[in-house]
Amino acid sequence: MSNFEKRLVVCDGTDCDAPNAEKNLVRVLRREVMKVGLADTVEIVHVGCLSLCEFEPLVISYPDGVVYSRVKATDAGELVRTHLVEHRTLERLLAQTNGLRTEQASSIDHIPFFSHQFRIALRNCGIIDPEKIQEYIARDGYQALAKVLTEMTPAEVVAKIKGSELRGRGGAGFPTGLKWELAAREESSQKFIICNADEGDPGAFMDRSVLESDPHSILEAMAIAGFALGASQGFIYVRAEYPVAVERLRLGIAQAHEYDLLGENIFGSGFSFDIDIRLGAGAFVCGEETALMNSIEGRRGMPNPKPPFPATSGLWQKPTVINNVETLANIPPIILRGASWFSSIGTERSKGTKVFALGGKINNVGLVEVPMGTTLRQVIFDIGGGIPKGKAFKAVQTGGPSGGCIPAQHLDVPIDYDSLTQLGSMMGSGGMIVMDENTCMVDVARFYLEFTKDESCGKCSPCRIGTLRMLEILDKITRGKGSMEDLDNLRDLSEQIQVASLCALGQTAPNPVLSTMQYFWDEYVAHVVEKRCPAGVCKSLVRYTINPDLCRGCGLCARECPVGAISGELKHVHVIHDDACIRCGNCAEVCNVDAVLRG
Amino acid sequence: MMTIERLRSLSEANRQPEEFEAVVRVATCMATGGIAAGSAAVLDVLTNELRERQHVKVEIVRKGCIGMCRLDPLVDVFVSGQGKVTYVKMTPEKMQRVIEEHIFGGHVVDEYMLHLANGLILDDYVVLEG
Amino acid sequence: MSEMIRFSIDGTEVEVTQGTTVLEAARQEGMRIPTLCYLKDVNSSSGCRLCLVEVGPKLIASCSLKAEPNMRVLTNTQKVREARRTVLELLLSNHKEECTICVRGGTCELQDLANELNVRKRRFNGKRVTAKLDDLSPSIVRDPEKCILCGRCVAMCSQVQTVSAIGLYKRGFETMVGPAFGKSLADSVCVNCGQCIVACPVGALSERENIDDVWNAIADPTKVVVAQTAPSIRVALGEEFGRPIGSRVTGKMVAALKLIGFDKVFDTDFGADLTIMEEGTELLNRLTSREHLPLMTSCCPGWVKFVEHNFPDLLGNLSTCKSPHQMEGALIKTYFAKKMGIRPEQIVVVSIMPCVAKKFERGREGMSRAGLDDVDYVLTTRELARMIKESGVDFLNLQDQEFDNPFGEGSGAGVIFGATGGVAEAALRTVFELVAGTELETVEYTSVRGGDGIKETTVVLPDGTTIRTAVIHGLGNARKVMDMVRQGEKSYEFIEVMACPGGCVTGGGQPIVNAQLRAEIDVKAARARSIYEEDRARPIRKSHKNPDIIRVYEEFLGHPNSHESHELLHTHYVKRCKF
Repeated sequence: MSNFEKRLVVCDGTDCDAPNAEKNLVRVLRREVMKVGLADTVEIVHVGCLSLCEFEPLVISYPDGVVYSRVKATDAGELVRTHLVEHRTLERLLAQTNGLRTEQASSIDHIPFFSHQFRIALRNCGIIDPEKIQEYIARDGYQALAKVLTEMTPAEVVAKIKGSELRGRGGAGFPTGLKWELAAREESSQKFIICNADEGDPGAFMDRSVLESDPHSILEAMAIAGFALGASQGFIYVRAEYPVAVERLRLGIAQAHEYDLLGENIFGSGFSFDIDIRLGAGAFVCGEETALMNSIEGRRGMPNPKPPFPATSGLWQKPTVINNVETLANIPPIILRGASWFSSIGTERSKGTKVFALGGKINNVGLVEVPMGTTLRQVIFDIGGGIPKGKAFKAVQTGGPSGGCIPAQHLDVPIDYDSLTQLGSMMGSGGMIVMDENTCMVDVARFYLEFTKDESCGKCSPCRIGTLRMLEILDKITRGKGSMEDLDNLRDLSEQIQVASLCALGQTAPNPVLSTMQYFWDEYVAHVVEKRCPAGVCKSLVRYTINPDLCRGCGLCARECPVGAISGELKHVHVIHDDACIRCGNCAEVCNVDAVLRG
Repeated sequence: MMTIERLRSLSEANRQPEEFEAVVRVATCMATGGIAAGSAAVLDVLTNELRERQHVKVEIVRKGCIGMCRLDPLVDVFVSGQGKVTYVKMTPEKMQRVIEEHIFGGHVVDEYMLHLANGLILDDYVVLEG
Repeated sequence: MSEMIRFSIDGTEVEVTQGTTVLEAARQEGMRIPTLCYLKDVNSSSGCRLCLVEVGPKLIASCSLKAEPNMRVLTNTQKVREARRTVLELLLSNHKEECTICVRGGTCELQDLANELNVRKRRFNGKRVTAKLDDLSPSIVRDPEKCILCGRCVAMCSQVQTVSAIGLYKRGFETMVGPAFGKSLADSVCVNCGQCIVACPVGALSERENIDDVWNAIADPTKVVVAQTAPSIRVALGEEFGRPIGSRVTGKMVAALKLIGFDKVFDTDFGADLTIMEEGTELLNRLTSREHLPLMTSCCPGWVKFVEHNFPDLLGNLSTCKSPHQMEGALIKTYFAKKMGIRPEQIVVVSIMPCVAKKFERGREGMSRAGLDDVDYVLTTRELARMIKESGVDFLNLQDQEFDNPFGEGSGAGVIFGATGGVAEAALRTVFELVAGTELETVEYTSVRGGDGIKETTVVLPDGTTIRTAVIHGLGNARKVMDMVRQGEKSYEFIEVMACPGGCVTGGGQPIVNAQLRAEIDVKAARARSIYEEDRARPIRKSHKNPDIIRVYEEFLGHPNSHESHELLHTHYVKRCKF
C-alpha cells in the first residue's frame, strides 16, 4: 500500500458520457487538497463508470466508505474542507440525501447477488475445502450413496430420478431418469457411466467450478448412477485445460478409495465401482457424446450417427450413460431430499435450478444458480447488477455457440428449456453473455460462427464447408460488400446446415445467425443496403465525420490523425476525408469538444 | 469398510463449529477463477507472515468458487466469536495490511470490505488515473 | 435370429431382415438414394450427408440407419432434395475444378452426382483448401485439393487393410487426408496396394502414370519394347471399353498391344509358372529341412512391404522368389535377348499389371542385374486402356491375336495367379505331382477358391508330408493370421497372401467400379470366374507341364533353385520401420 492515508475515488461521469459529467472535478479536487496541505496524505483516484450515472459525479471516501453524489467542481472546496480537514460529513452532498442507499457489507453473503440465488448444484461450492473429503462428508456427503446402497434397489433409484424430472444440464435437456432407465434396461455384462466434463462453450465455467470446488459430489453421483444402471466403471472425460479440476478429481478419487467409498463392496452392499479420468485435448466437438466416446476409445474425436444411442451401444459398444457435471451434481440432493422436493422447484417442464455463467456487458460477472422459471431480467439485473456504465441492454446470448441472442422485449420470459428454444435460442450449458447497445449483432453472429467453424471436426460436409461459407458471407457483410442476395443465401444455408449436419455442433451452429436475423434484421439490412453498422463496430462501415456546430477548429484531430485524412484551417471547421480515413478512431478520442461523430 | 454409522460419525465430527480452536480462520477461493485473479499470491503473504509469528493460531482454508468472480480474490476472515468479514479484490499488499490491522490488530479494515450503493458494488472500480 | 421388419419407404410397405439399413432396403426396392461416402463393407460413416432421408421431423443418413418396425421413411421430399443439393453445392465449392483434364473424367462420382442432382450453378464461393500434390511415391499420387473427405480411402487403408498409412489430420475446413505429420506417402508405411485409389470417388488418388515414358520408348527406333500382361488384365480391360464386369478379352488385348506399338507381347502367366517351379521347389526343400516354415508367398509386393514394416521377424519365411513379372523381365533381358541376339540394353520391358505396388516393386533393390532393371515400366490396366484409347484403336472390334514366343505359353496354373487362392492352387498342383511322380486326377483345389478372407486346406502328399495351407486376401486378414502364427496359435506349412481384397483381379490398378455398382455386383467373383474359365480352357493346367518352362530349364536355367535361377529369379527383403 502507498503512503496515502485516505483515498477519494472520483467517478465524474466522463467515462460513460453521463448527462451531468463534470470534467474538471478531479483537477479541482487535487488543487483543493493541495491548498489545505493534504496532497501527501490524500490520494485522488479517477475511476471508470460505476453504473450509478444518475447520481454522478460520485466521490467516495476511503477508508470510511462515505459516498457523496452529484458533486460539482464548485463543491470541491467545501467537500475537502468539511470531510478531510474538519472530519465531518458534508450532509448536503451525502449520497443518502440524494436517495442513494449505501451500505457496507461485512460479509459477501448479504449482497443481492446471493439473496436471489437457490443453490443445489453449487451447494458446497465456495463453502468447503474441495481437497478435504471430511468437509464434504460433514455436509451430508456420501449419505445419498449410503442410502442408495443400503435401502434402495436400482429400479427405485431410477424411479426416483425419473420422478424428480431432472433434465440434462449439458445442453439438450434430455430427461436424466429416462436416460438411466434405457441403459438400465439393457442386458450386458459391462456398462459404463461417463461424466461429460468437456465444458467447451466460450464463457461457460460452471462445470469447472463444480469439479474444482466440490469434486466429491460428482464422484458420489457417478457411483449412484453406476448402481442404478449396473455399471461398475465410470469415466470422467475432462479437458486437459482444467488442470486444477483434474488434480482435485484425482485427489478426490484417491480419498474416496481411502474411505472405501469407491472400490470393492461399497458399504458392504456387494456393489463395486471405480472411476477413471480421461483427458480431452480441448476440442469443442468432444462434448458431443459419440465424439467423446470415440476420444475415450483412443480414436479421433469425431461423432458417429445416432442411432445407435449410447444407452444401447456406447463406449466399446456397451450400454453407456453420459451425464454432464451439473446434472450429476443434482443427484445426491434428489436422493436425500426426494423427487418431489426437487420437482417442486422450477417450471412445468423444467424442474430444479440452473447454473448460469454471467459474462459480457454485465456488472456481476460470475456464476449464479437460480430456480428454473426465473426471468432473464431477474438474472441479469437483480442478480447480475445490470449493464455497466448505464448502457442500455440490447440482447443476451444463451446456450453458447449453439444458442441464440434474445432481445430486450423478451427479458421477462421465465427461463426454462422450452421457453429459450421457443425464442430461437437454447439453454445449452448455461453461458449467458450480455450485450449492450454498443454491440453489433452481425459481428456477434460472426464471432460465434468463427468459433464453430474452427471447432468443426471436419467429418460431415455441411458443417465442415458450410460453416466456412457462412462465415465468408458474414465477413462480406461486415466489410460492407454484402447484398440482399447474400442475406438470402445465408439464411438458406443456415437452415440447410441445421437439418443436414451429422451432430449437434453443426445442427446448432447456425443458431446465432438465425436468431440475430430474426430479432435484428434491420441491422443486417443496414449493413448491406446502407453499408452502415448502426452500433459502430464493423470497422469498414464506420464513418467518422466532424460536427460543424461543435468543431472549434483547434486542429488537434488533424495533428493526431496518423494518415493525414483531416484538413482544416486553425479556428475553422475541420473535415475528415473519408477515402483516406483508416477508421482508427484517434480523432474521436482526442477531440475535447466531442465534435467527431462515429456512425 | 465404510458403514453408515461411521459415515454419520465422520459427518458429525467434521461439522464446522461456531467456535473453532484456531483464533483466526482465513479462507479464500482456490478455484481457477480465484487463482487467476491472484488468490495464490495473497495466500502466500499470509503463509509467510504466519511462519514468522507463531503465537497466534491461524487456520488457512482453501475453498472453491462461490461464484462472485468479479470480486476475486475474496478473503474471508473469521475471528473467533466475531463472525465473518469478507475482503474483496485482495492483493498481497492489501493482505499485508489485513494481517497487521485485523488478524493481529483486531481492527477490521473497512476500506477493503464490500461497499454497495443501491445494491451495486462500488469496490471493483477501474482506475483511469490516479 | 433374422427377424423380418416391416416399414415404409415413400409409402411403399417394405419387408427386410433385421439389421438391414434403410439404404440397402431402398436399393432392394429399386429406389435410388444418392451416396458418396458410403462404400459397401468398407465405409458407412455418414459424413457426406448425401443419402439423407426424412424420418419424422429429422433428416437422417440412410446408409447407417437400421430399419425399425413401422418406421416411415421419405426419400423424395422438397426438404430432402434441398438438403442433398446444398450439401453437394458445398462439396463442389471446395473442389479443384479440373474436371476436363482429370484422370477420373468419366468415372468421377462427384461429377455424376452433380449431374444427377441437377446442380447447375455455383451459389457458394470462397476459400478452397490448398495443399501440395504428393507425387513422391512411385505408385500413388495424392492431390488433396481434389479430396472431398468422404473417408473411403481412410476406411480402406486403416480398417480393411490395417495399414493405416493415411488418416485424417487437422480439423474442420482444414481437415486433410494423408500420412501423419503431412508426410509423403513415399515416407510412410504405405504398402502401395492402391486400394485407396479404387475406393476414391474422385481424382484425389490415382496411380503414378508412366504412359509418356512408354510412348517415348515405343517411339525410339533403337529400342525393342516388350510388353507382358498379368493374368488379371484380360478379365478386366474390357470394362474400360464398356464390356460387362469380368469379360474376357485376352486376344483383343494382345492385338491392341501390338497395334499401339509393342514389339513383343508376352504372357506373365509364363512368369507365374516359373514362380511355381521355383517356389514349389523352395517349399519342398523347406519341408525337408523344416526351416522357415510356413513358407509365405512373395508374388504380391504390397504384402511383402507389409511384412517388412509389420512382421520383420517373419522376413525369413517369405519365399525368396521374385514375383512372376520380375522373373519374366529378368529372363527377357537374358535368355530372350541371347536367343534373339539383341543387346539387353536395347530391351524395354513394360509390365501391364492390375497393381500399383508393382510400380514400387520394379525399383526395389535386387530387382536389377548389372545396372539393368528387370522391368523398366509398369502400367496399370487403366493406363493401358488410356493408351489404347489415345491411339484410336477400335478395341471391341479387334481380331484376337496370340501371345508371342518364347513366353507366350502359360499354363492354367499361371492364369489363376490372378485370383485369391490361385498361387496356392497352382503350387499344390505341381508340388503334388513332383512328389508323387504321377498325374493328379483332379487338378482343382476348390477349397482355396472363393471370397472368404481366410481359407484353410490341408494336403497330404503321397510321401505322407502334410501341407497345411492358408490362403488369405486383404491385409487386415493377413494381420490376423500373422498375429496368430506369431503367437503360435496357428501352424501352417504354406501361406498365400494377396494384399488386395479379392486378389489381383480387384487390384489397385484395375478399372474403377463405382460404389453403386460395387454394392450390386461382386466384382471379385465376376472377374475370378473368368480367370477360372480361362484355366479350364487351357490345354496345360500345371506349371511343370508348360513346354516353354521345360525348355527354359533345359536351355538356360538348369533346374529350379539352381545357381542361375538364384541369380536371376530370387531376391531379398529389408526390415522397415513400423511408422
